[in-house]
Amino acid sequence: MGPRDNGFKVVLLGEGRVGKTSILLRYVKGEFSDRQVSTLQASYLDRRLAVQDQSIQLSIWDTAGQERFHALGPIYYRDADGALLVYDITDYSSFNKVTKWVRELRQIVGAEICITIAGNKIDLEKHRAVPEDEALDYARSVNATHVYTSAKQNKGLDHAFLDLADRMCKRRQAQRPPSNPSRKHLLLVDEPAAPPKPKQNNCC
Amino acid sequence: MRWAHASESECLAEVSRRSRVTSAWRASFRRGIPFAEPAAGCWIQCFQNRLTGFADWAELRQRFDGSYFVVLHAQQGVDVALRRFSMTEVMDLGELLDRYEEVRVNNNPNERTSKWADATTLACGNELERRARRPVQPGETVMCGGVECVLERGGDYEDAPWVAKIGAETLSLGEFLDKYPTVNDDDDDDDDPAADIALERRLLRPPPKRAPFDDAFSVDRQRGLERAAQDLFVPVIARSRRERTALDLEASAAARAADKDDIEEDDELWGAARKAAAGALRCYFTGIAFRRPADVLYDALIAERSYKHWIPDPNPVVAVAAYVSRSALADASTAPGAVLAVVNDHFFRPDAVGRACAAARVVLDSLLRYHPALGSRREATIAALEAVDAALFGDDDAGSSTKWIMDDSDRAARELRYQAVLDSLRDRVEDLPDRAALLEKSRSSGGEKRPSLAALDKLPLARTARGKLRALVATLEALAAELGETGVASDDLMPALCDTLLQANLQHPAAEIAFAKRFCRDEKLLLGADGYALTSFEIALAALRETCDQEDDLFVVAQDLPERARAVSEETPVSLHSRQQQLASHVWPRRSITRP
Repeated sequence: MGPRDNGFKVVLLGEGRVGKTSILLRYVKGEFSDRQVSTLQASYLDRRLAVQDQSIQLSIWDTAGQERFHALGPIYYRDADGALLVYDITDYSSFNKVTKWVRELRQIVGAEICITIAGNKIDLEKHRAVPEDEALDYARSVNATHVYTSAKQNKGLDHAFLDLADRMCKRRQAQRPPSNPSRKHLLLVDEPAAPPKPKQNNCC
Repeated sequence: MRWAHASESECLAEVSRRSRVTSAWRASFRRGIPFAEPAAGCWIQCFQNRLTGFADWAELRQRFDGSYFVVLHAQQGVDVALRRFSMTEVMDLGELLDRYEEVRVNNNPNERTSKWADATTLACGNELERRARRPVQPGETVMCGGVECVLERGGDYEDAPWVAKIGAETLSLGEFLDKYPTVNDDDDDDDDPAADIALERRLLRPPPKRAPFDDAFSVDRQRGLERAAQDLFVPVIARSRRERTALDLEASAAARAADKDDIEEDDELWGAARKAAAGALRCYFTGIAFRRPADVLYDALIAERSYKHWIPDPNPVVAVAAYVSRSALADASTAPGAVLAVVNDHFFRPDAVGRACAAARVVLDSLLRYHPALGSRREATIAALEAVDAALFGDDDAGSSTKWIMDDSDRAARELRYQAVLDSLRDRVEDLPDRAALLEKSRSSGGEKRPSLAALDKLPLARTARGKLRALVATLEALAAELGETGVASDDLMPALCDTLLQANLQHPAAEIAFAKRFCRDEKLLLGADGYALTSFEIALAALRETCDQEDDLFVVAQDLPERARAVSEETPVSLHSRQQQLASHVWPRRSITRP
């Protein structure tokens, strides 16, 4: 088994003030409320999940929302398996940013990254600025899942992460035949299929 | 160590004397090779004062100006079995005499048995110059035995061996030297009499004498030079690279402060100069202090010897001070140089006598700020002042366009300028404890240091990638704990991390990160908290680099700063990284000084 066989890296992207940190904090609390929480866990979170009868480990990386750090996004995305793009449904510009990041992710990481677009602050439905149809259509067009979340009311978070984990698992299984996951690293060229047996009468 | 300071004729006489003494003792071993007077091209056997090992050999050579030097081939250590001369060194005859008690001239060069064709290119070139009694340039025509001969390089590349072309015949330089024993260009007399007079003068000139030295220099020349230079020209408070970096940061802070100062609006030019000085502060601490101090001092002393038209006080302090000031002012990439450039372009108008003093003050200010040691001795300060004078008012051959300004009111202006120096000195003295206190504070505040900084200090100490990653995670966690108890979002963490990185003043932050990244072999780690910490640091570093470049624009007062200063400041942005790159790639401007 390779080191990353059940570990997944998820980056959390979103403009400042859309609530991605709240999402992470809420997610942390929901799980670990009675345990010591590392101070770092508001920006970096390890979480074990049971998906498809196996235990997987999710590393969720929060990213800084400021523009000057986001210009350095590719360093964040490196080797990411999934991305949770958060926008604020009451702020259309934050949705525009999401489209930008999707483009960038697809360009840099490639088509294999699983993307979930999360419309946050669904509790402020009456101030909605991003039309639902547009958001859903867009998510479908880029082959991403769209979910609604509310960090304030703890709605949709578990679902969002579970769904993302599920898709990442499926994607990885599709990429690697489960029978011999590390086969491609052991491809031998110009060698007999079965290596000769080592000598056995070799003892003194 | 006295032979190093003796005159050349004395040294030659001493070689001859020692050869006679030595030969009597060594003759039995050397099968009675007859004594020969030292002459250019001869080999000198140099005996170590011990029984093991072989003698070292030195070749006596002569420069075209008639002075002598030796090329010493020495054995390093006692390596009898290999019998190999592993060290070649060029030195003066006096130094050779100081080093070896017993020397013996071994052969007479006039009875040279080996052919020049077998000699090295360097030896042939030397011999050619010795015969021609002048430096020979490639492509030159010389007369040898009434035949015209063109000397040129045998290939397009640098250091290609020379060839001599005589008619259709092409000879290597060694063959040429063997074939034609004399090289003379007497026939060229009519072509350039002035050059010939110059040559004659050069030949008539007595061999250069060494400058008198202080007691400090006569003990151990090399070490003494170094020590004296360190005392003089490395700023007292900035000995290590880290401290210099701190000084750099401080300089940029000063630039910021200077930018905010109220500038006397009524005097437009004065204001412009102040701004120029503030802008030039960002041109770094790339003073002479960054060069090897011994180099500087050595160059200065050589310059003192070889520039006959510039004979300052024989006191080396003055010589070096003048040299340092001149080179700082001549190089526009240093702060004083940039200020001078601005001031020279904009200050001199017919009514500018009064302002000239202000200009001198600005230039001096920046000179003393960047070379505080210049203010530490009276002679050095006066030399610095003279250099500024010369640079501003064209006392020397460089810029004579503004000389006329000082003609009528020379004395008053001079007084004013001296006053300016005294003011600067006073400022400097007042300034100094603050700076020292600042550095001291940053250094000694280990006890009450923020935990994140303390954790980050362990980063360079960790010897493995795992250790470095641990230090990074510890720093991040400490930082998060400092910021809040419940946990901190990345939005707040990253700016704080940038701040901490700046304060920690790591020597090679990028290298530390690259090391951890490159040598971490466990992929799982990079997926977890360690990877997150690593990425955060990477991003913080990259962001800092970009920010530094952007903030650079903040200090440029576009409409006021003259074009030239702006060009200089754009060439030299304030970021640490570009500064290091710049220092690495910068070729220091040198005077055309030939070392002996």
